[in-house]
Amino acid sequence: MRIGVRLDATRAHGVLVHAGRVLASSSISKSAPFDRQLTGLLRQFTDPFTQRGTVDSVTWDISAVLEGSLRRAGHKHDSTAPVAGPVGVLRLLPRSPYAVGHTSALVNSLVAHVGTARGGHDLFGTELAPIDLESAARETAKARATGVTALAVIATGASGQAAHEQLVAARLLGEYPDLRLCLSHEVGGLGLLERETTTVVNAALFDLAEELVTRLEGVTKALGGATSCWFASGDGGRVTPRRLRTLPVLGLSTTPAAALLGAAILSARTDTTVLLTDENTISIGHVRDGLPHVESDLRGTLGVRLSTPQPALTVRPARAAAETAALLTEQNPANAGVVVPVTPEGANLADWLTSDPHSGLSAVGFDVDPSTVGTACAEPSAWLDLVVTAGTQDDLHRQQSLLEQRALTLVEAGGARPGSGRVIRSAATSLGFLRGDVYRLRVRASAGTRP
Amino acid sequence: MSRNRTPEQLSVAELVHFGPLSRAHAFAAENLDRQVSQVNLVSELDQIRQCEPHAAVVLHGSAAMGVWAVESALRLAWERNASCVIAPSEIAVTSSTAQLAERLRVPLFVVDDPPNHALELSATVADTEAARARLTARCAVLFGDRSSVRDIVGVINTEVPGVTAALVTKDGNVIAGRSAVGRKGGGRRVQVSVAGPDGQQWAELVAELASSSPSWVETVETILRLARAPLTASIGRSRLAVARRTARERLLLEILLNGGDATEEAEEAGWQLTGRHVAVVLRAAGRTVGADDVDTPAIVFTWRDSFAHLPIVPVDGAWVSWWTARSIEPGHVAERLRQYLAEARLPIALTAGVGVPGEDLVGLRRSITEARLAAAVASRLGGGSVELFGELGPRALLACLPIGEIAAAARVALNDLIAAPDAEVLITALAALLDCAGSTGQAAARLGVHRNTVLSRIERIRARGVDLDSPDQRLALHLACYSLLSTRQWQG
Amino acid sequence: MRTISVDDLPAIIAGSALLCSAAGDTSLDGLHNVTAELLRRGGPVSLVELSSLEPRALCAAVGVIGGFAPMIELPPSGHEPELAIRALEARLGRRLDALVSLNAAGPNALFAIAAAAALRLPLVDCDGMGRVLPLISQTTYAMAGLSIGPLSAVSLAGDVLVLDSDQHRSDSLLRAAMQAAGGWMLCAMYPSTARQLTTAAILGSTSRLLDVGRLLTTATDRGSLLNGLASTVKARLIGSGRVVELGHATRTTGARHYPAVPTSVVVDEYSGTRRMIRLEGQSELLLAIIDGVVAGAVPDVLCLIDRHELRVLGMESVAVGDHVDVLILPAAPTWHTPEGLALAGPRAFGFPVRHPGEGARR
Repeated sequence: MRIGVRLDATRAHGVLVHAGRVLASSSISKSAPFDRQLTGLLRQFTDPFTQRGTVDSVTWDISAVLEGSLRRAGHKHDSTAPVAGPVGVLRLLPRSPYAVGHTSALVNSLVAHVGTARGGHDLFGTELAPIDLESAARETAKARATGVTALAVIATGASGQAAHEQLVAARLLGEYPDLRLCLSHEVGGLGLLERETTTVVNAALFDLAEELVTRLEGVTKALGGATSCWFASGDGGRVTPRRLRTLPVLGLSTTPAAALLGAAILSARTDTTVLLTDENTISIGHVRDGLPHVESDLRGTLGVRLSTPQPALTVRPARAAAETAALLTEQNPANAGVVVPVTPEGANLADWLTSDPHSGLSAVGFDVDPSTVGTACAEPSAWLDLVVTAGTQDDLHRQQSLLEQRALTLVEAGGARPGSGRVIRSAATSLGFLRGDVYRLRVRASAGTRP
Repeated sequence: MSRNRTPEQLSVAELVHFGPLSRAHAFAAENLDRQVSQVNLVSELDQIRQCEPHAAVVLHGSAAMGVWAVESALRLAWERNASCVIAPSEIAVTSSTAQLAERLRVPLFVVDDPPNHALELSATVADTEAARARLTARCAVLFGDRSSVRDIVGVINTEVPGVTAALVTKDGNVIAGRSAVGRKGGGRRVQVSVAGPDGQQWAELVAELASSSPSWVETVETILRLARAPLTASIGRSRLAVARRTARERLLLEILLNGGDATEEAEEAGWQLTGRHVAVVLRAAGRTVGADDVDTPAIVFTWRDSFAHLPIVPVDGAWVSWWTARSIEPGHVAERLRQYLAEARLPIALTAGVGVPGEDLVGLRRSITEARLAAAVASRLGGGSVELFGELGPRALLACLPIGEIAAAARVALNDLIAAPDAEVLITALAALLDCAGSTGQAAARLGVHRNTVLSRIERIRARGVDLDSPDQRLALHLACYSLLSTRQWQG
Repeated sequence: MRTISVDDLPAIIAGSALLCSAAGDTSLDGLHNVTAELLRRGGPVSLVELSSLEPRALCAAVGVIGGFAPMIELPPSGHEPELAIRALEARLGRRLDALVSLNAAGPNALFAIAAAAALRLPLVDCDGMGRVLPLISQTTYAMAGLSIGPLSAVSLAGDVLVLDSDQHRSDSLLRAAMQAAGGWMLCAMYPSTARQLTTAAILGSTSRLLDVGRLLTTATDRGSLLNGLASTVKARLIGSGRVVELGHATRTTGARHYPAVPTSVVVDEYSGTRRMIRLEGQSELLLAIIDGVVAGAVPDVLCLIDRHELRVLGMESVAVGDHVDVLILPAAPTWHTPEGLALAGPRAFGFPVRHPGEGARR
């Protein structure tokens, strides 16, 4: 048996799932002492079912809390809840950019100081400029002067060649042992800006994540030592408390990812389009091979491009419902899609979408929060995104196999049973207008057997 | 397909079968009937536009520089009514290309070295006669190697491209080969008669040609003729052997069943007498046939085809067999029998009864008796039925009833009831009520109607002078209903 | 006279995606941010007609050679246009009077605007491709006999290169330098007078891009978008379906597939005849083959539109399972002449087929 709990601003929604079936679900509103209330919620599930066996795991979806604190960073006065950030930014580039600063208001609200030092590599791993450790240290000192405790370090080309970020980290940790660093190659991905945003957001969430994870681990412990504690991730997987402490950015956009996964479980379909409805919008996502379809570099609910994977959703207004339904029916008349209301107000729209029996649209999730079901059933996963140079097809094949192995190792390192991983997607895209031998490799792996 | 073929052209299928295309990987291989008039090696897609109809188009050079080029070639080949397209193997054909080939019905072959293949194909296409002579010779050799009728007919079906063959008796039963042969809508037919061991015509060897030219018909006919002598010899051998063996085994089984000691002979015949047995009796559906029935050899053949290790002994108008194994269960046996009755090529409709498991010879005797009773019940139900004695229980007794006579008597005794306009409804209701020991609720459930409906039917039955309450009438009434329903004799 | 301000940028970005099937609407946020900043500081840019220039006015074409991935990993710093133009001016010994686009499509549409803003020069409403083509010598400029050089190029680390060579050697020398410099370089090339350009340029390219971009940014449903594209750029829908195959045919079982260059995309049509639309490309989509028949070919623009997002899917982001509309946009008439097809028709890319328009004229 597994438990999934989603925390939002005012409530906690929980579900107890066994073998893909929902045994119980409940929702409580938030009031002090919240930890004791959460323990009560878990007990409420487990007590009637003790004869069925033990609860293997509790998985927490805390993205609403994390996203709320990021948004609040812009308005520091209005809340008692913890506020994300602020952080310092250190860019390692061959040349200073014309305009310093990010265009996103959200990112700007999290950043107290931006500094640039010479350094970085190109996409093929060639050094563009030697690393200037002295100016990196000077810029860090300026950032420290603003009072930040976390620093985001972003070198161009770091996903393929992390040496400059590592050299800077070694130097800074010697000087500032209490400074928390987030290096851009740790979040990975292609694109300086995308990695910078991701690294900044990650560093801004360090403190909040630390506190939340510690508390929720404590709540989970109330069920006994046999129950493990997990956190949902934005790719529809789950991560250990330890991993979320260092990469809290993985805990963003988890609710829609879990809702897609929950829709797949509730509808017992492994390949389907899913329509998440709320009062005003329809978000169209996909489940492929039993897992939510995710992509990197998407503008998720926060509106900033993150290099970490998030569910690929097309958001259409409710007034486009008829057109959307017609397009989906044309695409697959037999199963145009599974409709899932993600808020109570979304039920009307879901009802309307499935009212025509010939549309091929069906609905699930009216009686249970689908994202909690997905959260409970999530499995450890891995996502790797790398640019490689491969002279021959055999060489490409070899590098792709290596990356697949690395992804499977990450899945196991992420808490999966050894040997239980499988590669979900492994694609090599030839990059345009470069030599024919440059490829972007994207590999996704997950624990669990093929559905 | 085009009508104006020159007579001496090989079909694509022939090239696949005994020509150079046998080494090629084929896609859309359902459409191999077209003949090949010439071979065109094309290095540019545009050259396909100049190909004659029925060409084999071999791609190389820039005409084969990618999957897209192969797809374009397929399309152009289709426009030119070409017979097939041959592409180099460095192009990895995916499912979308295979689908296009299927939709256009243009076979696509992938080979290692197209130019070399084109040369070989040209040589083969040019010398049709030599190719066909090689095929005929190959068949002759294979006929000599095969001993059973089935294997000999099989040689034609596997070796001769575009030809399906079957051995068919005078009355249309297929003894061996593909049963589809001779159905309506087929192509050109060629047939030769095959004599039995007695020298009389015994069956026809029929072949159907997917494509035909006079010389190809001649080739096929030659091959069929070559098969005749081996077929006659084979049937003679097996018939004689079957006749001898069945006579001996019938005697042996009679001795065993009557308590005689013949264990040594049984062992010699390969029969298992010790251990756990489940007996089986096969019977003709709805009628009794003599043990020397003309159909016996065919039934014995089909049985041995399906269950080579089991005995099959004709006794008293039925055929007896049994399974012997530690874990054998009647249900499993019945399953196998149903499959056999459904799939075997039987000359008459058969039914089967299955006994309860029994240990050693004593148990086998009992099991055979039970199977025989069950077979009697099954034979009433029509071809393909299998009954298990263990499930029938005492109902097996019903098989011994002279149903016809009882039904005739019932028509007189229950005249009023039978005269009712809804006689069938009433008799069915009466039977259900008696089956359910008078419980109207159970009877209603069995009939799938409301209890009130059953009550109203009982009223109507009473009104027709049937006394339901008298205990000494009940057995007679039950028998009457059973017989009437079994024979459907209330209908004038 | 039209001007281009920072407010026009969303339309420029959307329009440039449609004419560039390699990138599609792949996020080039860094380039967009830098262009916006340059427009705020030096803009708005005057978009002038070629005929409004003095015949002797000196122009040069601005455009990038290289890949999008390096440009995403390290976006332009904003200094590149000035470095490139000043280097070319130094080599020519004369100041430029106006800039033209190498091609008003894909990222290069933005670079020309960014350069005009940075140097406070007018941008002429014309270009040399009307789409994206892989070689900087595949232009109507070259076709009309304009010399590509002397030209200047600036790398992402700030290296400046000036090159004096012919069309073909320029392309291969620059390509080698570009790869060594990290994956892209901004170039200023085809220095020529306004008079020379009158017969060489495709006129109205940037305003066309703006029109298309406004359509893409305002359309709310698929029907009105397709109708709008049909009327503004004569776009024709050749089929709709699900992407079922990507890359080369060497796909093995499971999730893996290996594209080589060239890459192919196979779209399985939804209903009716269920035709297979095979798109062949090398960086850009070059050929559309429906059930073995060439239905569209370079130099016409082939593009994929996500049916729900109403956005252009680039070759580097399209995935198996995507639902797409396949469109053909006819190229400028110059490209359909025998000389145009020889330079940028399917045979120029090694596809030994005729362009569909060519067959009709035979």
